[in-house]
Amino acid sequence: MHPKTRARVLSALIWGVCLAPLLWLVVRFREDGLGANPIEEFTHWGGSSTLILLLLTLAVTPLRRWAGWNLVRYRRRLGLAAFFYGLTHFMTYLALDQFFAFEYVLEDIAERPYITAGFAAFVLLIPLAVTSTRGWIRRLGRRWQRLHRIVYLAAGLGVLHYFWKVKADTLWPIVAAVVLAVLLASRLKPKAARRGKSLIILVASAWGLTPSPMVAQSDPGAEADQQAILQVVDDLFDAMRARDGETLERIFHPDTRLITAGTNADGVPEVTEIPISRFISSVLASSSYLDERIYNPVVQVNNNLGTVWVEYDFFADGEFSHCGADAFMMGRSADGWQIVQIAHTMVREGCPERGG
Amino acid sequence: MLIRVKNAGLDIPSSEITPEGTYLNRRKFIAAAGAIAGGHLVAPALGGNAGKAFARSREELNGQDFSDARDELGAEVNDYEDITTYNNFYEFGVDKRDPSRNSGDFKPEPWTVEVNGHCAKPGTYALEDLLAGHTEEDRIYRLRCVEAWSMVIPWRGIPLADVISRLEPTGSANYVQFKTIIRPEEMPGQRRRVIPILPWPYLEGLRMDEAMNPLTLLVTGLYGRSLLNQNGAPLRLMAPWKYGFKNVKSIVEISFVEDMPRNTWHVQTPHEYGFYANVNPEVDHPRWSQARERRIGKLLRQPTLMFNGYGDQVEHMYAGMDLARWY
Repeated sequence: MHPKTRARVLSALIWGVCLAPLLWLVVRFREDGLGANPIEEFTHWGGSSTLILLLLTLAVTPLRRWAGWNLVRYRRRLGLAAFFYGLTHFMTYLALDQFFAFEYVLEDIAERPYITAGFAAFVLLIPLAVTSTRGWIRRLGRRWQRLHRIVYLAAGLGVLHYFWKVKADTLWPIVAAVVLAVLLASRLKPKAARRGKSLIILVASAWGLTPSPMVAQSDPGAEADQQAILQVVDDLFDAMRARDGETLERIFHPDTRLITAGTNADGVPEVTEIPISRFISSVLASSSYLDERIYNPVVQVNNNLGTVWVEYDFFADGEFSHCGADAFMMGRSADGWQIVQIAHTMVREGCPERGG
Repeated sequence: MLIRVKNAGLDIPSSEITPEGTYLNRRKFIAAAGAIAGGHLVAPALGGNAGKAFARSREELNGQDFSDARDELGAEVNDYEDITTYNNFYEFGVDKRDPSRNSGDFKPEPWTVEVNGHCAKPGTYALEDLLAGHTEEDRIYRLRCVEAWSMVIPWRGIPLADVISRLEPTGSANYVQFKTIIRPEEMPGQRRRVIPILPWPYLEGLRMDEAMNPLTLLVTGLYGRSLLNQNGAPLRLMAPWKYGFKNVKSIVEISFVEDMPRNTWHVQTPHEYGFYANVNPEVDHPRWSQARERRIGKLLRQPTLMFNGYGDQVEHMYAGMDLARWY
């Protein structure tokens, strides 16, 4: 399938997932007008929908890590859908169930643990929904990611809310708890996973299957840093393919410049540069599938400074566009490696045949 | 035909009956909500039961007209459809709709009830024999579920006291225990092996004076017809001042016992469900308030009444008891 078509189908599928609860509600309404206790039914619908979408949002990272499906681009949509259903759930409780009887609502929040947990989960989701825009991602930088880790807590409280609510049949709350535990546990092992990945690359390169990353080995302890730096570079190209603004904002230092060593219209060599924010905007605004494939990476590290040199072929919507080399300067911050400078060449002729 | 309300002394003059305009019933509520969303066009298009529901008039079943049937406090009875599709009967599944959907295979006939324990006439009784000689009565009772919803239901049954008297319990019979049938092949809720819903069989019990209280019914029908499977066919209990879970369904065994029976919900979660389970707005369930309830078919919650409004008939049985301790 053409990458662009595939992206459209995927996007439609994700919309389908987000809207499926509404469809279910219509079907249920047609069936018997939500039954004898429609307020209860509507409340349960909102709660279940919130929890399911929250778990799906949390499944994006493990799916990328373990199944190689990159849905990062759609994570915000899933998360906002979860918030939408959470808001509906809370408003159903406040308006229909309690009819704005605030004295009972406050008593519930203060004294009924399952409502305390559910209400806390809802409140925690509010700042995440508010800061889900690109502007907030940029403004908060690395802090954005830390802030959005709150979603783990919110999901935990949501499952607890469900668990504490049911009268006897804990089967489904247990299922939800197990799913959440698996999704969270899968995040605990990124280092082990990367170590496994680097082992696979080394073994594969020993068999001549992939070009070996030429790692300038100054001391053995630097290997982890080299792998971490390569991971950031991988993340950059994954994020370009997925048009994943969150990741792009995260992996670049805000002052990064993108330098192009090229030629002007007259063929005279010329160096130009743009702020990285403009590069990110143009990636996110692009209607094409941007696929930059890299070869022969060379990584060097000394303490908190690293460089990466890669050759690349660039494909737009599956069509070869140009080749060249990227030079990354990497710096380590309190949160790990970031790209602090990037320079590249762009060549349209004489590119090596590397088989798209 | 008139609905015979045995507690005629509680009849309230019609002037005190809640005027219909002060509340919305569910059908009107849905219709109103639909109209807000432009649903006066959408509703007919939605079709199905929801569409029919808007036009449906109140029930007229078995030649009896229940359209004006009300309890002694003036509350109108719930729709037959709601009473028969919104049920807690975990033997058929935990969703409220499960009992009406999953009970099709259940065979309430023929039916026998084993009577045992401290009584002069133990034995296995065919249901007809157990009920023989008693006249069924129609009584409108409120049903208050421990989950804080309620209904008003026109039951048909015979006073439990009449049946018990005939079985001649001895002086050691301090309590009566009731057991629901175990029939996993016909009851899907009993089939689940992974994390069973409840320990089966479902057990309940009453103190002898509660069992002998004139309010307590052995129910055989509602709305003038036989009980449907989802409502506990062919024989169930109804002690209307207690939370719904006390009213054990599809009874196969009645035991006269000396010690307080260990009722299922109490065994399941002792700090949440007691043996007495009297409706009490002042003693909350540990996880939710019991001060108010949603009457099925009504939009707003209403205050819950002490002993579900049957205090005059039952409170003497609990004189001097700490009802917060004996919940």
